[in-house]
This record gives sequence, structure tokens and C-alpha cells, in this order.
Amino acid sequence: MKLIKVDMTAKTIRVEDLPAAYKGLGGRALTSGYINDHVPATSDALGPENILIFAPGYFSATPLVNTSRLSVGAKSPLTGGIKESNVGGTVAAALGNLGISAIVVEGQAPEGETWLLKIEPDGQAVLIEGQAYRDMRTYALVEKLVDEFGAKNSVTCIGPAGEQQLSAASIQTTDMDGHPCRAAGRGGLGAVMGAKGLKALIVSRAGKNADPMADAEAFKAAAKAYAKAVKADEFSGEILPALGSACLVEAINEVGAFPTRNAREGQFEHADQISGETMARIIRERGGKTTHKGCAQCIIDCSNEYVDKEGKYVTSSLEYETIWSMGGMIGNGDLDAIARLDFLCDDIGLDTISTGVAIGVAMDAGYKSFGDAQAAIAMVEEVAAGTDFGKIIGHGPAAVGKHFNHDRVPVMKGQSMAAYDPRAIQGMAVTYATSPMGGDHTAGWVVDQNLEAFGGTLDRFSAEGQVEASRNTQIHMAAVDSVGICDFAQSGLAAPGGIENVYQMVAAKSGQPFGEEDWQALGLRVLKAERAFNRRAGFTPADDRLPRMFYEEPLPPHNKVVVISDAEMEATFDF
Amino acid sequence: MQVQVKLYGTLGKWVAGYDHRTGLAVNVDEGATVADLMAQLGVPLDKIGMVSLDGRLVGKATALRSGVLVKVFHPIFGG
Ligand code: SF4
Repeated sequence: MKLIKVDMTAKTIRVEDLPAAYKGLGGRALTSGYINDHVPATSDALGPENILIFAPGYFSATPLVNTSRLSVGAKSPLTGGIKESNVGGTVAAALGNLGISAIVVEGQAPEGETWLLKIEPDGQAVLIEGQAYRDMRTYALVEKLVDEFGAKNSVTCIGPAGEQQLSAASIQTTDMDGHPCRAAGRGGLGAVMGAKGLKALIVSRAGKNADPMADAEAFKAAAKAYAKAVKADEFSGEILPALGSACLVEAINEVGAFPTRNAREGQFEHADQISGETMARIIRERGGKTTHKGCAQCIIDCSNEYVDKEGKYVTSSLEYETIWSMGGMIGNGDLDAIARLDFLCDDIGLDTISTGVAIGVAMDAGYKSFGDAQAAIAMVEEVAAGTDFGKIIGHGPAAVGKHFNHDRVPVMKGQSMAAYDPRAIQGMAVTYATSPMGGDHTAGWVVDQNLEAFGGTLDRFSAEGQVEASRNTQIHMAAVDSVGICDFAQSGLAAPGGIENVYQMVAAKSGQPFGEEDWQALGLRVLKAERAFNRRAGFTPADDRLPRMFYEEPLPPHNKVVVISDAEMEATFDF
Repeated sequence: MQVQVKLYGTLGKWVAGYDHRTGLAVNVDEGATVADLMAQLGVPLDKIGMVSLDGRLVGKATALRSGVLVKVFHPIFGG
């Protein structure tokens, strides 16, 4: 339960016990609590007062499967509000195994300096001068770091976009194969890391010092039952391994909720060319990998390795959101081009969602034609090259809209929505508008209620029940992001007795009783901290809205608009 | 009458030799419903999240029409 504090101004490192106020917290509860307590809300997100905090989930490095989730927190340069972005790979399990609850990066190195932070197998941290790694793209960077420091480390790093402090810059981390293909993409946290002068965090995977359990046997028993439910579930046990999250393409497109050509339409005529079914077939035919383990301790293997016609590696884990942002959203039905764009974003250190939407807005404004994949690739390359236009793309869709004086920009609190059009699934309008994160799908994914049981237990075009569904899911997800269970392993939660297994595991680790009320309280505590920060940063209820296009432009083929009223949006969180 | 059927996700496993690129042409009785078609194909209803007929989501009791394209999806989860 160690907290490592790194001061980038003074170049000092202190190791402390996790303060009592944060005992029993991990992941998002720890990052959002810490940022709310320590960062002046009106400070410059790219200045020395901002803090970048890395925290593994509370369950990371325990026997529970699918728990290598790292939360990264800071004030966001993209939204101007608080941010938590989480990511898989191996780093969270590695930190947990070193007994590290969080790494706090404060201050700022003078401009032009580049540093590496290395965590040794004994948990000691050192800052290493990293000028030789400056401006490197992430794949080459990781290769060089492995040469220098060995392969038994996980690397969490930024690319040129983060170093340029662009608002759509991601933090990339290595997967099980050592590829920097897993992204804490949202909120521009790569820019915060760049502003601190920190190029990479290198964490030893050799730690054997995970926090002790109050009742290891009880934990193991509940973890075993949980894993069994994840395996038994059709979606996590069979569909995700076969197709990955790309299995959503055809389903979401079919219901007219697949935002196409900068959300002018809800269906993409080439969806079948970029679907999970097609992707899996192409990967198989070319000798790539479906059913690929992306993260430590995963038993689902939703990842994949996409290869070219010669069978050579292109990118890893081509996922639904990227297939949408670099596919339907820009009118591109060429899966090979999408895979290339996914790789480029990982390599340059860009959020694939914000970048694809930024390109979509540029195309919508007439800069290039929809469907021009080569133009999209050129735009992403411009980001790496640091051209003026590249910087605009790299700052995300709102910056692009401003540049072209174009008002069809699908962002909420400055961050782009994800691959579900809120006009065709009204509950997503509530989540996008009210989440303290800005436009974000994982914060409160209510798609299932709107589509299950032959067309939804909620009417997806009506406001009824949507606020409640979004509220409950947002509270629940804030707790899930804190314990650090992968979204796709939530089948284990939904199974009979599943959530009780989670309560038992929290109790078994902490030694304190834990039940349903505590779970709710955990989620609420997170959201309250985030909303308090955002209020101090200047957000008002008027920011819990969608752009006008969603209220005014009917979305084909169903020709619906968002019908959630402002009062309903404001009722979502009455705190 | 005949209908066209596409099975998404891993639902194709219920029909021997299913090829997703071509889908299936299935002969059904006049008045057959979505549920009847699924029973005929051997796809359990509890494995299905939604079904569309020519792009419209329908319930399991909806009657089929000649020549219609039936798309069958698994339940979805996650995000
Ligand atoms: S299901 Fe996918 S994202 Fe989740 S832990 Fe496994 S590989 Fe990582």
C-alpha cells in the first residue's frame, strides 16, 4: 500500500504509505479522490499544479481474473474537468505485485527535458534522463527500452502527440506481447504526461510483494466462482474470444445507432466490410490471431492481432470503437486502412476515438471527402510531423470545428462521443451529457437495456427510464472502475450471485464488512468527487447537454432526435 | 415460401456448414413466425438478443414474409 510521489520540478522521489484517507481505495476512486483533493480546479492542465496519478484497481494483482486495469487521473486539457481513463495490459498487475497503490507525478520538468521513471523489482523508483528517447514513436521507443532495460518490464508511455501536448494525446501501455497497443485514450492525458516531461514509466514485472489479504481463502473462493461465471457466459466465454468487441458493429449498425459520416446517418452501407465477422475471417485467412490475450490474468482474450496480406503484423486489438471512428464515422469501408490508422494512433500516441471524430469533422467541413482513407492517414501523419494542421487534428474534434468554423461537432464537455448515436439509444444521450468525463461510453453504457430481449426492455426512442438507467449504470461503473474489473468480465457480475462475490472479495481483501450499500456508496463517492471538481473548474448544469445537432437533426433511418429534456438531464445527479 | 437468413456473432454454429458470406436460404411454411424459423434452424431463442426483418427489429412472434432478409443477433454486453 505504497504511494510513490515524483516531483518533476525538483527531481525528487518520496515513498510513503498510502494516506489513511485513501485506504481501501484503488483505480478510479483513488485517482479521482486524489485529484479532487490536491489539484486546484482552475489550474492549467498543462502546468506544474496539475497532477498525473496512476493507480491500479483495488483487485489488481489479486487472484481474480481480468483485473489488470490501470486508472490514470488528472485534470484534462481536453475537457477542462477531472479525468479518469483506464487501460489494461500488464502494468496494473505489475504495480500491484510491487505493493504500489499509486504513483503521483507532480510539478514539471523544464521545457526540453525528457525523463523516464523506472520502478525496480524491489519497488524503488528512479528518474532516468531520457533525452535519447525524445520524439520517438511508441513502438520504436518500447523496442529501445527493452534493449536497454530488458523485457521483464511493462512500459507505459507517450508518443509524439503527448510530447507536443495535444489534447487528444493518449497514454499507451504494453500488452502481453510487449506491444504498446493498449491506450488510456480519453481526455488527453498523454498531453499531461508530456507537459510533466515524462516520456515513459517502466515498471518491473518481477514484483512479489502484493498487498496482503485479510482472508486469502475467502477471496480465492469468491474469485473462483466469479471466473467460472465469466467462462460460462456466452458473450464473454465465446463471442468476445471469437470476434472481440467488433462483434458490435453489425448489431449497432442494424439498429441505426452507428454514427456514420460525422453522425449524419445512423447506418453505414459498408458495415459488413468492417464487421467483427469479416475481421475475424480476414485475420484467420491471413494467419493472424483472433482470441488473443491482451492483458495480464485475462481469461476472455477479446484482443486480436491484425495482419496484412503477407501475414505481417499491422496492429493489435482492432476494437469496435476504432472500427467505428476510423470506419463509419469517416465513411471508410476499408478494414486494412482502419487497421493502419489504429496502428498509427497507437504509435503516435493518439486517442483513436477523438482522432477519428476529428477527421470526420474535417471531412464534414469539406476539407476532404468522406471515405478518403488515404487522406485520413495523411492527417494522422501530420500530427506526428507537428504541422499546424496536424496540431489541430491532434487537439481533437472541437479544435477542428473551430478551425473550420463548423458547428456539427459531436462533443460533450469538449470530448467526442463514442460509437453509439444518442438519437437512436436515448440513454446514451444521458450518459454523454451528464458524465463528469464528457462524451464517454464506458462511464454508463446502457445499450444492453435498450436492445436486449428482442428490441429492448427500455424503449430506446423514448425518455422513459433512460435517466434512471444511466444514473444507476454510472454509479455502478464508477465502482467497477475502482475495483478494476475489465468491462468485458462484467458477465461475472451479472451472473446469479456475481455481485455478491465481488462484495465478498472486497471484504476478504480489506478485512472490513462490505455489501450492496457500500458498493453504491463507493460509486457515489467517486461521482461526487468528480462533480465537485468540475463545479470548481467552472462547469454548470448547462454543460450537461448535447450539441444542438442531436436535438435538431433527425438521424436516418429512424429519423429521431434526442428527447431527453434539460430538466431530466439535471435530475440525473442531484448532488 | 423462402426467406434469407444471416446469423451473427457465433450463432452460425447452430447450423452445420453455415457460411456467413452467403447466409442461408430457408424454406418455411406460410404464416411461420420468427420463433418457428429459429426452431426449424435449431437456434435456441435464449441465445438471441434481437432479430430484424428487412432492417426492422421484430419480436419472436412476428410473422415472416416471403423473400424477407432475417438477421439474427446474439445478446450484447460490455461497451
Ligand atoms: S477481455 Fe480484452 S480488454 Fe478485457 S482483460 Fe481481456 S484482453 Fe484485456
